[in-house]
Amino acid sequence: MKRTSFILLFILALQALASAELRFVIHGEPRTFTPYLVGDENSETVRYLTGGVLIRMNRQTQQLEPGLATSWKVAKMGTAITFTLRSGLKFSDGTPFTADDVVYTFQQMMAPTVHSSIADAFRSGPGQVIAKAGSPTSVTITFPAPISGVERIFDQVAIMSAKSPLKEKAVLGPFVVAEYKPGDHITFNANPNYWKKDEKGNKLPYLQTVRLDIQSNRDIELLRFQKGEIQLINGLDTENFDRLQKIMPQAVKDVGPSLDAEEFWFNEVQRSPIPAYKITWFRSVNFRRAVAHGINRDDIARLVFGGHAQAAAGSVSPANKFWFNAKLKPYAYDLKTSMNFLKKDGFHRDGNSLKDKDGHAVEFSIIVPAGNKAREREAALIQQDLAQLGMKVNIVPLDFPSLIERITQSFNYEGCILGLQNFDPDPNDQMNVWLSSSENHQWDPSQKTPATFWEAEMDKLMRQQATTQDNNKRKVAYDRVQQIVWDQAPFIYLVNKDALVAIAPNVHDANPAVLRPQTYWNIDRMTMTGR
Amino acid sequence: MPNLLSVAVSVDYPEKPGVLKNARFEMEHGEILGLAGTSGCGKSTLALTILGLLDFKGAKPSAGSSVKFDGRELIGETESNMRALRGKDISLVLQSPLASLNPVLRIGTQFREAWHAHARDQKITGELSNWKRETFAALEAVSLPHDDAFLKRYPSQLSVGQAQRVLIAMAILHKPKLLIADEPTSALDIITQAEVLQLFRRLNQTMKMGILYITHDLLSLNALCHRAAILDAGEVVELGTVEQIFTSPQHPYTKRLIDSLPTAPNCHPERRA
Amino acid sequence: MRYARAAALAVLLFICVSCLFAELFAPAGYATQYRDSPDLAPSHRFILGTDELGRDRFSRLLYGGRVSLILAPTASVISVLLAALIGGVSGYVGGWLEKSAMTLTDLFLSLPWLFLLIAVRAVMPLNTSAEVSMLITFSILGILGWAATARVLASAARDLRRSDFVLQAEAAGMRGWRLFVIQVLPNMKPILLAQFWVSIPIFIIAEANLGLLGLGVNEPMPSLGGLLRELENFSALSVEPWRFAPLILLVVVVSAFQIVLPEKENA
Ligand SMILES: Nc1ncnc2c1ncn2[C@@H]1O[C@H](COP(=O)(O)OP(=O)(O)O)[C@@H](O)[C@H]1O
Ligand SMILES: [Mg+2]
Repeated sequence: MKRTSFILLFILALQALASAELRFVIHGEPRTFTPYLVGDENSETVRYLTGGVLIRMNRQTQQLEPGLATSWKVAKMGTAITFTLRSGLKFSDGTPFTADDVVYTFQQMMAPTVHSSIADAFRSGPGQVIAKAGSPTSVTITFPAPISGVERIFDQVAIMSAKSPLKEKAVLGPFVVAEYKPGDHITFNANPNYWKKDEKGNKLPYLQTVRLDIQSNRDIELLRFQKGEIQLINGLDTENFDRLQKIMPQAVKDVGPSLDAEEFWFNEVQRSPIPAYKITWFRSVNFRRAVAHGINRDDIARLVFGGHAQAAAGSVSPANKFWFNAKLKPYAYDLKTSMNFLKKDGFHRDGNSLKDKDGHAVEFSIIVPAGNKAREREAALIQQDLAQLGMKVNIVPLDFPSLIERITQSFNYEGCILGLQNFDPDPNDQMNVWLSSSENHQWDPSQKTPATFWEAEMDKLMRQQATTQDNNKRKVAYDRVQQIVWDQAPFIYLVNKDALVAIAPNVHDANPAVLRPQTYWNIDRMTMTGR
Repeated sequence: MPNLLSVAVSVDYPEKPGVLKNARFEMEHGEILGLAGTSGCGKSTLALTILGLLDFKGAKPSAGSSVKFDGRELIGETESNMRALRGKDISLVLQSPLASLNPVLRIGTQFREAWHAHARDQKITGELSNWKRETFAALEAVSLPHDDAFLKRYPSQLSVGQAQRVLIAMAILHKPKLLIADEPTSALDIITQAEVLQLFRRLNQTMKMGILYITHDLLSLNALCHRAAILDAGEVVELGTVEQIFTSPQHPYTKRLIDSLPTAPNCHPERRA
Repeated sequence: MRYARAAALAVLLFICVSCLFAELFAPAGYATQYRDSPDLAPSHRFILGTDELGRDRFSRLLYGGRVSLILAPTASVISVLLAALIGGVSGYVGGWLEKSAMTLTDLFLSLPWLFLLIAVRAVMPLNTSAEVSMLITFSILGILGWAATARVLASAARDLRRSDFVLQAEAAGMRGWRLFVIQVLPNMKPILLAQFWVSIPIFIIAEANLGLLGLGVNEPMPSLGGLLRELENFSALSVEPWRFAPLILLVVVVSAFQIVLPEKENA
């Protein structure tokens, strides 16, 4: 009797293990299943689960690790990279993996008719990107011009099979798409031919199935997590985090500052349709620094983000282990310093209000995306903070398209609060923000020639780091860029939001990181017990 | 001196052509002319044509029509001239008195508006304003109370007979030369009917007012009118003194009308709402 | 039913008075941020607790109620007047004018007015103070809200146009604008009044909807709609039921209006 019940229990436990299916939510339909076309987060998730890549970035250490390639070598001043491939690997359908598959993947991705943002990252100049197999386990890819830190791009290049009849459905990653029901869910089975093994030689992944439910509503996501229907939540907002913390304290995790920064900037575009004297204020570094010192960042972190944020010093978050310029500290909240900066430009108090040297009262508007509670609250705090300096701030929530139209086309705005999302720690990812000729050089975009000496210097430094191979040299240049941004304050950084996640207690060996995909970046090693 | 009115009109409605086909008759000054015909034969249409209000019903008099009032051609007259004429020289009394008064306005207001349509008020301190004096005179002429209390009333506070008298009083406010009464007695009981007919007779005598009395009721026509015109299928088929028509009707239609009399003298087949 | 009406009227009166004289009843200013006491549960000091920025919820509710209670009737007046002008006049004049006015009305009714509103708000000058922006918001609501009422009024005016008393008035020599204003318009008064009362809660809710999109009255000025945004996170509500206060106020005001309504109509 005792024995049978023991066996029964054992069988039940086994069943629980076998039926354990890891579930989480993606917030929209994946736009594509073709790896090189991926541009949205949902498709990215599918690619991350299924795609095998030559080099994988460890999201925890932020170091590159061998994937399908055992080693690689950058040559010819960064214009070529040679991979040595693992041998004996097979795609999920059994087709063998060789250097030809890498060549094929590049041919597909670099085809002129294809619009692939990854392909664009390789197109460093006029000319072709060419992949050539040296042997079945060796492949060399050459670029028209040097690309600094080119290795990191391979984290996004999922290798496709040249020969498999299943085309892109044959994969090298830990999971294979088993079923896709548009609008509802995607299920994945473990890839039986996945190459990775754990330290004891067991096959990975441990999980047999993964299910992604397509669900855009964040509140429902939270409720389902509470009910145990899903096991992971990425990118929780503060409110939901706090709420969940009260109910399931062991499930939530503040992973620390993320790469994302909240930022505020003034419109410095000379031809914009706002009063000229205001542009004069906004283009003055003293004014910008005065504002930077007039904002209480700790209050924003505490009140808007419930403490799950840190005052930000610049565009690079301390979470970016290698590239962060540790010398920089966030602007201190200090009204005296603010006033001193303002006095340098002839601003003076007149009763409750601040006047410029010509007697114009200092009043400006801040546009924020409508419906974004966090940004509106940031604006409300800034409004009160700057009122202490005598500045009258009007908050203008705008629907997102008109906000974008104003900051990119008509330039009919004065100040704006937005968040900067960083997916990749590498400085090249921010190239388009700092180059004065870039459209994303938000405060004064698309300049023909740099408008200021410091913008000219940033242009030079950014170009220089982009063609340098030695990361330590690149860092010197990039540290200087960060310093210039701090000194000139074209962007006034507010806070770095923490990465907030939730992981069900029955999921083991999750190792959440601030880099995306935060909770499941090591999904091939995660395990799960029954509920 | 020209006739008071001489009419020769044709009217087509968009959905119903040939409602009036060159209907002709004349009227003398101070005459009471009866216009009789079955319901739907075009009597009201004729009345509206004379007043130039046919567009109220979405129609226009056909080419060649003529309405001569006191020698003046009214067809083709400008709207502002017609307006100046309406209620001043030619006025109208409709069939259903309660529906013809504005339910939300006091009687006084309605008289004041009718007065202002054609005259300015000269306010002389200490005296009644013009409109009030004239209104009281008109009310007196129709044997209604002529005081402020009455002017304060709403139409819903009047009897049907009173309402019809109010309408008549309003119609004679500017002492018109011609009063068109479109079935003014159809909605009234017999006794009130008799009183109203009496009133018309008196107005005709005291004010020398021409009255075009439209009716489908031959008995009242006989009691009131000097002459009568019989309208049938859009044409005036007979025109003559009341005696002529009643004693020796010529047209078969008139004969039929008169034959039908003794059997149902006071039965009104159509009651307009 | 009588008692219900009296009670509803009393409630409405009570709410109106406390909101209109918010300065007297509100323990704090609507913009005052007690940054040391954010997100508090109700207490002696903060009857309905504080919001994330440490602002007193009860005070914000009173001021927000005032904004909605003053401006919704204003918007209602604007929309009803416009409706009377467009619907009433065109229905009365008839012909091509009525046809084009009705086409315009249909167009307006079929327009995605929310997007229109967003578009109109997006082209507003940047530096409008919160007070002006809130006036503009409700004016826009009023200006956009006329169409449905206009339909009702046009058909009423059309019937009036064909009525005997208008014919009688024309036969008495009356015409044009004066005839419309003096004879026709007063006959539409009951409809106008009914539409006015019916529109008030609609505008309160419309502003609430805009508020939910963050496009209502600007920070830091509260409005019922803006306050309702606190309900967005429904998972929080079971834990913090006092956040329901603005919703309760809205429901109470709107239903009190509905109960009081028929009596007003007859007045
Ligand atoms: N607006 C209209 N459109 C079309 N036909 C009409 C209109 N008004 C009246 N009629 C028709 O014209 C004819 C004459 O109407 P009417 O002058 O009112 O007759 P009566 O006054 O003699 O009863 C009727 O047959 C009626 O159906
Ligand atoms: Mg008739």
